[in-house]
Amino acid sequence: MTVPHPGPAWPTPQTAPLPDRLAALQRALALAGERFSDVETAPARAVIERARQRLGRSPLHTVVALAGGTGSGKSSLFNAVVGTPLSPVGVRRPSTEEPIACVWGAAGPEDAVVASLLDWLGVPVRSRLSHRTSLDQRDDPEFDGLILIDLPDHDTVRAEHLPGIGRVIDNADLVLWVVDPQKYADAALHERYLSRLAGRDAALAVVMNQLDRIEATTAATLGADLRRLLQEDGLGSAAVLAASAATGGGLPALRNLLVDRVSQRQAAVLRLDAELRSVVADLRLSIGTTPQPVSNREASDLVANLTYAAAGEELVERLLVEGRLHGPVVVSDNHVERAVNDLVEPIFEPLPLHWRRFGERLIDPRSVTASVASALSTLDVSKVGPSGLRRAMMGREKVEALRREAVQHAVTQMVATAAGQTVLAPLAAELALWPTVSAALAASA
Amino acid sequence: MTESTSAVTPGPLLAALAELRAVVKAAPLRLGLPDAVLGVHVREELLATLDDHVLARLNKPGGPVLVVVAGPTGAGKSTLVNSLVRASVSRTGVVRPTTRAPVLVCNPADEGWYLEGRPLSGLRPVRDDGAEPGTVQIVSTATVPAGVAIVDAPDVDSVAADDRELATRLLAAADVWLFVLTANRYADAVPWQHLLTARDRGAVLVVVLDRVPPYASAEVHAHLSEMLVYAGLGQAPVFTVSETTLNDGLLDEFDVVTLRDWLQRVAVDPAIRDAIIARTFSGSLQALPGRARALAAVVAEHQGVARVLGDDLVQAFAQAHHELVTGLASGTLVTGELLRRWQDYVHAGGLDALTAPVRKGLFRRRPNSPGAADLGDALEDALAVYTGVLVNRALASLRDVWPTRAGGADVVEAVDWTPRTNLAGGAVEVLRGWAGSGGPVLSLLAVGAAASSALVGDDSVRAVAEDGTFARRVEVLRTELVNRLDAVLVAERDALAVEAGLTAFAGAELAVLRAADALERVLS
Repeated sequence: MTVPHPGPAWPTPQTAPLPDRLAALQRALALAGERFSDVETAPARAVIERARQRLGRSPLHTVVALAGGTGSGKSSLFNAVVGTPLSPVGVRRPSTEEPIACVWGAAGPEDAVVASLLDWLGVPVRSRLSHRTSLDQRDDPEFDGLILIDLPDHDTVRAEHLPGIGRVIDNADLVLWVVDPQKYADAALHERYLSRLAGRDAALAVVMNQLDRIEATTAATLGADLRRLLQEDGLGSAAVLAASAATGGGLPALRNLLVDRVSQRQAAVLRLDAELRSVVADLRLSIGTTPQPVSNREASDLVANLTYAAAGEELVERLLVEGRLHGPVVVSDNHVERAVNDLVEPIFEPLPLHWRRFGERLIDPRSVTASVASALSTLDVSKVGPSGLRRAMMGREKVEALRREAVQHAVTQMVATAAGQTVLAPLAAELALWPTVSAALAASA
Repeated sequence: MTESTSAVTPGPLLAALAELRAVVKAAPLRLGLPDAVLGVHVREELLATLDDHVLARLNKPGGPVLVVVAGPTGAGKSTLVNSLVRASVSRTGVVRPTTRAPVLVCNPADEGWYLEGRPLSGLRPVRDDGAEPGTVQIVSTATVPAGVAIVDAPDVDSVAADDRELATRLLAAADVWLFVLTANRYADAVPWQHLLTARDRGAVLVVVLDRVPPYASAEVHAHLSEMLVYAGLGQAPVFTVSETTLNDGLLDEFDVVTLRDWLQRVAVDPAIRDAIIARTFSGSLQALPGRARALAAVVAEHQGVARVLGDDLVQAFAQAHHELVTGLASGTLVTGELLRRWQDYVHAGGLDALTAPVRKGLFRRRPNSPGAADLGDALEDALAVYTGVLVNRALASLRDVWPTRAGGADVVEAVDWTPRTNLAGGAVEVLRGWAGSGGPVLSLLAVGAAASSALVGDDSVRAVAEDGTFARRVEVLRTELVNRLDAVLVAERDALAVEAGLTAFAGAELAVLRAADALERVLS
């Protein structure tokens, strides 16, 4: 995405490491302050917090969540990958009652860092298994650092499972979503879960299980249809795998995917990266377009309107007679408020509503009134006009005309100075902020 | 005519149903609230029940028993229908969803009922397999006994919302709900919601447990029966179909024979048929007031949201009114240009003109008052600008408060917030006649000239202001001005209420509740 603003040169997004981009996002939020609403920034704050939590808890481990609906065969698949029955496989639904975690490698579930990770994910202590000790398995060095979590069914009638599922899915480094030929097009699956993962393609793989139950020729058709639905969910580049826990078909590919993610030891970073991109893309879409600076025309309209609010014509007459004003300058509050509104409203229109209101509140018309009034009351025009020598060479009418012109100019200048200090300068500072926020967001993308 | 329909007099019943239908259809559910989806669903279901079942059966009694085969994706509904009639009448397939335009299968003797008779759920009956949305394909075959019609509904949990709605509509029209569940997903949440709906409506329910692996048959059947009893659906017969390889796309005859026997019994015995129709009809009818009240509850919630937003609106414009009154009394208007014109006018002897006889017409046109025209223009301008400022302050405060309210964000999106340059009531027109009635001096006193900071020391102004004969007229003039400007503010406020969609809710909940009560009185 290109952002139309003249910002500082930032490193190209692909090369900036994750912590730098998270810092850029934090900077953008700090710069914008209350210009974004809490609702607008909630996803960004969530990803920053998640990154802080996750990267502080063994980022070299790979947390893989196995999710799916009732009867899709998650547990069988889990067992097939682990190599021995671990989750209870039953025909009676629903069978998986709580998340079960299996940890590979020397650092088992008792390891302080791993335990802290599992605590954060909400896996109960009684459901934590070590692949090495509890299963009496040969070492599986390829999976060293894998934490596989088998989740309860997402569509069960026992709805109390759902919050726990959401917590693991939100925080896992890779989600393996297991579907079967019968229920891959469920509304619950797509509307409640998958479409919410939009943008996390890199951290999601969908496994079509139970391929042994359908004919080989239809498998390809199903795969294409599943890809189409994922595309509609905004997950067009998520990995799609076919497997059969019953016959072992497709398991090598699934295993390879896992080995690949585990051995790279950066699944946590990749997943946070995917989420960060998605969050930042949303923010950049909602930030609006570059607000235009105040034009000369708008500035001179403002000065003219403020001069009218101060009854400028009459002031000129008084100044011509008295040299400086003795009585008070009574400026119309309402006309000032109208003049400020007329200037400010269109300027902030390209911005999102919350930011727009922030900009419109920036200038207090009363302070503008006070500033214009006090500036004019200090104005001294006794020396304004043609000088003595030139006066002598001009006719009386010409002298009067020139002096009137000079006084009018002096009044306008005074109002312009007040307007510059109380309206135009704060507006310019505010408008200059937008490109810096936008640039910080670009740097976090 | 079935028993239940003859139990109540049709006249009042039809009237009560028509009234309920009207208020349900008009029930406002436009705010983007979390349960707006639920409300729309309840409303559509109610309308479907009324149109496709209750009113349809009342208007044209008789006809076959309508069996709607429903269930979650991939339950094997089409295969079951095909197997029941021993012919491939309904599209089956691995790619979901498979059933976009439903198929109705009936005996040739009954097809006229559907081809020319009453429409099914607003669907256009067709003979050919066009699979066009909005149609129902009518297939007649002698393998279906006369007196029973079978419809293959789309998946109740399909990813396509149109399919889900159609399934809901078809179930609303059904005399028998034939619900298909599979062995590996019989506990899914969405199909169970539909089963509970069937229970709440007292509909005749038949459950088919499909794709049961032979080794699990006993355990799964027992657990499902237990769940049905626990849910109050223990009466529903459960038929089990085992997971077998298909023969020409059809199930083994052994698996469907008991279900076909059940349908056959229903078809041949008019007493059973009438009893089934009457039970579902009466269940639908009795459930209507309760379902309407459920809709009323959602409407009430939306009405509550609209009321909060409406209160904010009233509050914002009440503040504008308050500022108008205080502003007129405090002299803030007599500043800037208006102050200057007033001073010019007074300087030119304008206060003396007060005692001269009052003439008809606009004061600024009086030939005898030098500077009166300029003063009148400045007064109009000052009042119009003030009114505009007050309206914009009200709009700004609403833009601050509405986003913090439930359902407010959508309303904020719906409203055009650009500053009002042309006020709804036409402030300038409103003012012109007013200023003419009072003359320049009293008009200026009415907008607070005596309180203006620049004039408090002016003895001549004070003398006029404190003169009892004028003070009364000034007070009358100010009241009149406030009334006229209030009309402008109210017009702005009401236009905004309409724009924000807050006006549709008045009395909506009550209307639905009254219609529900009226129907219940007829039924009791």
